[in-house]
Amino acid sequence: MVVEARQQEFKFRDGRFVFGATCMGTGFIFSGRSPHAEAETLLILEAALAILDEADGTFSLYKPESPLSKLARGETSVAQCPPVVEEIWDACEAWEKVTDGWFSAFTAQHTFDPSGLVKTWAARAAARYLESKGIVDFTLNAGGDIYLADAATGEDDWRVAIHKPVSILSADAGAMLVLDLEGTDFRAVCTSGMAERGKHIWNPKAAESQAADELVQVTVVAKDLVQADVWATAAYAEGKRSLQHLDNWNRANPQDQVQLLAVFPEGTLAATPGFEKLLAQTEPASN
Amino acid sequence: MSRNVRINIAYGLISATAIAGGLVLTNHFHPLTPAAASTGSTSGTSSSSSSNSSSSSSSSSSSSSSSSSSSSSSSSGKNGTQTSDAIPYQFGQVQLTVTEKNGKITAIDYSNSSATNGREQAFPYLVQYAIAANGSNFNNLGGATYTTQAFQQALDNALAKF
Repeated sequence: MVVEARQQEFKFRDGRFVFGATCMGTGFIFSGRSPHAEAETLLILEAALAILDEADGTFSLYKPESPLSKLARGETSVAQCPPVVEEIWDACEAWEKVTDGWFSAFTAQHTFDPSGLVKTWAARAAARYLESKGIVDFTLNAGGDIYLADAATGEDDWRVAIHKPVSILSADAGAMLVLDLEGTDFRAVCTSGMAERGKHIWNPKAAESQAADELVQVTVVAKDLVQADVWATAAYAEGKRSLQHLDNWNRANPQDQVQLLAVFPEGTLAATPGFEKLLAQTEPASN
Repeated sequence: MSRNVRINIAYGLISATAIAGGLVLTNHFHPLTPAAASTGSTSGTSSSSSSNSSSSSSSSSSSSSSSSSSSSSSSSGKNGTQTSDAIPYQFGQVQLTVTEKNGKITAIDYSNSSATNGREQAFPYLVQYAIAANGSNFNNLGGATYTTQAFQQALDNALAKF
């Protein structure tokens, strides 16, 4: 088994910080402004990273000794796992109901795979930890899923770009659209697609495991990071009907809006009606 | 003023031509057939009647067969509302009602557009904003879950702003 060395970087100047580290096969970037000195800021960020590591250690299906791997092999029960496993299990069941079954952590082989939720669930916990320690002015890029803290003040913090449905390592990588979430309730922008990791989302309603492929990428904007992530996975699995699905959801849940942008294989863009308001209108004053 | 804009998004497939009097959505990957685009030949969808032009998205009625056709209708009108031809495309048709005030587009009503399975929401404005996205400043670039190599690229980006 190959253990990848952790990449970790930290920069701090005049209260501004960027902290990036690999975890869960992807990377997390916290950037913002800290009221604390450099050393204390780093301690807080490392403790937040430890929250991510702990979730990885518990839920990774790539690590044979993780409680979840044991659970998948039938070597243990939920009751014997750390309490957090039951918490995630319950959350997955709840989200499966909310999404009409389009988000499902239960595979065709009847094993429990909450990978679609764990990353942002842990990222949200890490973000809350920062906030509890007085670092409230920051953004978090959780492997391409973005969280904005309420008190983010950076000039461009509220401007979130959505990448084209190609890998950011590809020659034609670049931003497709820019959102401006300032003044809205939206705090999370999550994207699902096959650009980086191939066809990894399955249609939970197909009898056999079957890759969802009606859309090449979906981006969901919501108040909450986990909510946005779950809906992005669900919408990707559901395909083009997800646009109508979320439009119906928004009409029924005016206090809990979830906006969706979908990219079709031929490059056409489609979105729920409320998405338009989130598009950045003008260039910011910076530069 | 007429301006022709063409942009490659994703795989370089959509292009929009915005003209201050009419607005046409074209999709170069599945080229439109100009013959069919001309008028009534579009089957089914174009609901006749009710030429009320209460723009904005929700109303499902709105005008139809009035055709101040697409591109060359340079109808100097700086104020008012015009409706494009019903343009068929692979998944349905697009018909737009554009409202202008002082030469500026203030509303685009696509409610008479139709498509299969949600494609009716393939809004042309997305294309326009995509044009504006180039060169915009932003802090975070979101996308499908990064691999660790892609993460390094994102991190380098963040650090470069320091």
